[in-house]
Amino acid sequence: MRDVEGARADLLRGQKHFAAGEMFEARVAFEAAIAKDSGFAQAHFWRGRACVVTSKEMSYSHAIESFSRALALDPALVEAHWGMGIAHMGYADADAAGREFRAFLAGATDRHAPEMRGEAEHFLGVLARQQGDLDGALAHFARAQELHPRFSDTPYERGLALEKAGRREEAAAAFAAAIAIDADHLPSHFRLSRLLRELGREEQASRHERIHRILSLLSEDATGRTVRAPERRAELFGELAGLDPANVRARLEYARALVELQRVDEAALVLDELVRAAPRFAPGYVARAELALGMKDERKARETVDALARALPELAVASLPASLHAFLPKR
Amino acid sequence: MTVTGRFRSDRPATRLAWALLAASCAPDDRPPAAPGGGEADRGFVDVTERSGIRFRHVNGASGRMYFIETNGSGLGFFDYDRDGDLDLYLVQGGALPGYPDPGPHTSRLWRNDGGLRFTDVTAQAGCGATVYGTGCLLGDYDGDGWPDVFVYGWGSSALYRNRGDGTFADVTRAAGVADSRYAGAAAWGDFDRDGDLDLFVGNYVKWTLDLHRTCAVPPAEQSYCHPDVFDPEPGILYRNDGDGTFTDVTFQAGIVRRDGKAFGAIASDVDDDGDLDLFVANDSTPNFLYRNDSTPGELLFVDVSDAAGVSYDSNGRTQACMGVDFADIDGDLDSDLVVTNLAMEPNALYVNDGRGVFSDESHERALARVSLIDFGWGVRFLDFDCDGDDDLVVLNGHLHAGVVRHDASQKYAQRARLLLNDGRGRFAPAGAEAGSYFDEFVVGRGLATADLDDDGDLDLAVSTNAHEARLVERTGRGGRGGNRWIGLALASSGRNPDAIGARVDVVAGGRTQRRELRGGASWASWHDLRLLYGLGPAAQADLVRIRWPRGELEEFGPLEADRYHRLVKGQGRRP
Repeated sequence: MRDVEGARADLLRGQKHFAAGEMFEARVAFEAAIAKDSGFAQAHFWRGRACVVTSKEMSYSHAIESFSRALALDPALVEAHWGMGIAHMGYADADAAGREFRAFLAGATDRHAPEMRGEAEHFLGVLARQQGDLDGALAHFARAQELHPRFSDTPYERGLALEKAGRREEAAAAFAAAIAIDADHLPSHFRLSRLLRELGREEQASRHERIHRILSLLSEDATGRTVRAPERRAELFGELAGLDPANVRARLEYARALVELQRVDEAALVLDELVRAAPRFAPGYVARAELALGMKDERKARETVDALARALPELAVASLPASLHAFLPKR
Repeated sequence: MTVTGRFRSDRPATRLAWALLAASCAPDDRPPAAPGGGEADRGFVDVTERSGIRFRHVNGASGRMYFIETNGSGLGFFDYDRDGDLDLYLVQGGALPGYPDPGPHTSRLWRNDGGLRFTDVTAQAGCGATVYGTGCLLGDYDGDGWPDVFVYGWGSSALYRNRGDGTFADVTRAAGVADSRYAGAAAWGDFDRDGDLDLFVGNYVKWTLDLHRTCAVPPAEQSYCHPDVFDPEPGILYRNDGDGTFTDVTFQAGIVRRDGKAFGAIASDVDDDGDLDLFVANDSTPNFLYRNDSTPGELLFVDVSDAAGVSYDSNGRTQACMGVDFADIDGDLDSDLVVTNLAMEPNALYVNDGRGVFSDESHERALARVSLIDFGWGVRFLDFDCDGDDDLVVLNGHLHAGVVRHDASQKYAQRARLLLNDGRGRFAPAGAEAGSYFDEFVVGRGLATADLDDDGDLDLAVSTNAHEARLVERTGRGGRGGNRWIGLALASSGRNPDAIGARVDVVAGGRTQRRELRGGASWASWHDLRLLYGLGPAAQADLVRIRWPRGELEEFGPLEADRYHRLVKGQGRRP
């Protein structure tokens, strides 16, 4: 028996998990929605999205199955073409991916998120580049950047196309742009280091080479790749933060490793400096307040939470763990 | 200088034939195959049943998901009894706690009785290693003309010296190569060019039963852990002391990297300076390329991995590297490199610029797309159609028996792939001409090649994990579609009689092809040491130019097509 309301509630629950990055919980909720209403196209679409995001566990085929089902139920759900395109990209099936992205863009309207349209343009650019159509690729990347300017992969891919076209200075600028969006963009540091070396800028090349190596050692994924010893983590994140002070995540992780090593005074200094240097980086405040609480310094915890509430009033409540809610200033 | 022969040429009939021919080279004793003629070409066909080979790999699995149980094992071809045909050595795994049959489960030696039929002679030969094996090397380490057996793996390694009477002696401890670390790769090579074979053993991760753990495959299934979970185990370089013993010279020789998890190793002169460099394929850690700066008798390597462009893929990421092979894929006379990888990571093709600097061109040369969903292991460049360029065979098989539950595109048992080279180093899947073997699904691991029937093409042996080994014949006799071939068996003097490490250029029809004779390649496997070249329509090799392992240059030829020739060091011309 169809349970339309129950399915809708499961979908909402799944979307919340999805937004929180809890993909497996999201997937379970979407599957519960489908079990209650197998004709619920949105639930199939969202299950497909969760499968794509969990693709490290190799679920592209499940994603394709879900998007196909969603489209069969509701051909107007053009975002399923977008999802299908991404899943086909996962299998390096250029023809199918290109077809799906084009179908999505043909049917997409302003109600579809510009990020989604930007990604479709981005992947069409990647496909064009792989086929040697560098001008076509650059045109797609330009549109992609306009639609989704915070997507660091686009300037990276643009850099690859420019490099291939022999426009090395522009390529270097494109890789740098990707790094400006995402300081941890490992491929951009890698390509930029090689390119800078070719351009004779040895010092800059060495810096990016070192950052790439550290990121390569620190990259974490679902397979459990982590640097387990806190001493080593502190060493690597400390060096990374020194090489790239704009990398707020590195500074935060450096402080966390110091806390693990019971070097709390040093950690406090690092976090104080982080909050000063990056006043719109909420995790810095949270870590500093938690550290203060751990050091039984309630005054500092309250000051830090207060500073967060002033700097980022729209994010303060959502950013804070429950243990720090009591320190929020009274409205 | 004549050296005792190793192949069919040892037979009396061949000796007579030699006397009738020029001293510099000699065809073997088979009647030449008709160009393009002979039996129908049905590509690669599984002939395991009629071969008599019955070998089931034991991985010791009992549901506890021990990390090592999904990784083995390799295999190799060698003529252990020097009767002129190639025998097969199959490396075994072993029992692990919880496995119902405690064994012993031993590696097996299968003697070739001719006609593609084999007999298990392990017991009488005495080389049935009880090591929980990864792979084997089957080179002649003591230079007595009889190939030996080195098995590496987890818990121990084993070295068996061939006594020359059909039996082997376990000399592991006496030779100084006993080691309990978990070895994932190995290669023989005369790295210091002092005339004998040195040994590199690439270790994988630090793993013992005490370090065992399982990892979850979300949402709920327990499975094998990724190697990232375990710490790397550094490799070892053994110098051959020339008296049957080895000395660990790892650090003084510059093999200093400790951050690799070796699962593939291969030697090649990548920078064309006359010595063997060493490439180590690492699983999920950066690969290593050690440039050889040794002088005779003194081993010295320099880590050039990053500068050479092989540490990472084109996006700067590590890959789960396993099988390796070098070949000149684009006809520019340098060594290009293929590395097989995990599913959802394409196999990597690193193209050499001639100076030993590589670029990852996996996408540009179309290898990425055709290999993305495969879980690659054994790999071998070979000229399937004898058109003068190297095609590629890749053996596949997943780690997880239940992978299909996560992704319908993935299977535990997978098809091998034959990819054809378009002559410019771009690859595309072969069609039906590949043969029925490429429709079979196997949990592939090791891939070894040999021309078992001396018909100018390479047959395959395939090892699996927890399944049966397979023997695969490349059917058809003679050239492919009228194309011709030539086979070369090298014989050298001294303590490296097979001339492992030699580089051989064949000039035919106005083009030059280059091959090197390798002491270990593919994944954990060992190939027939003869070199095969497709000649296209050329009726002969106009010139064969050999650079022997210690650098001496010698030329032979012209040599007739469609047969093997035995080239003995010292019997050619100085260029």
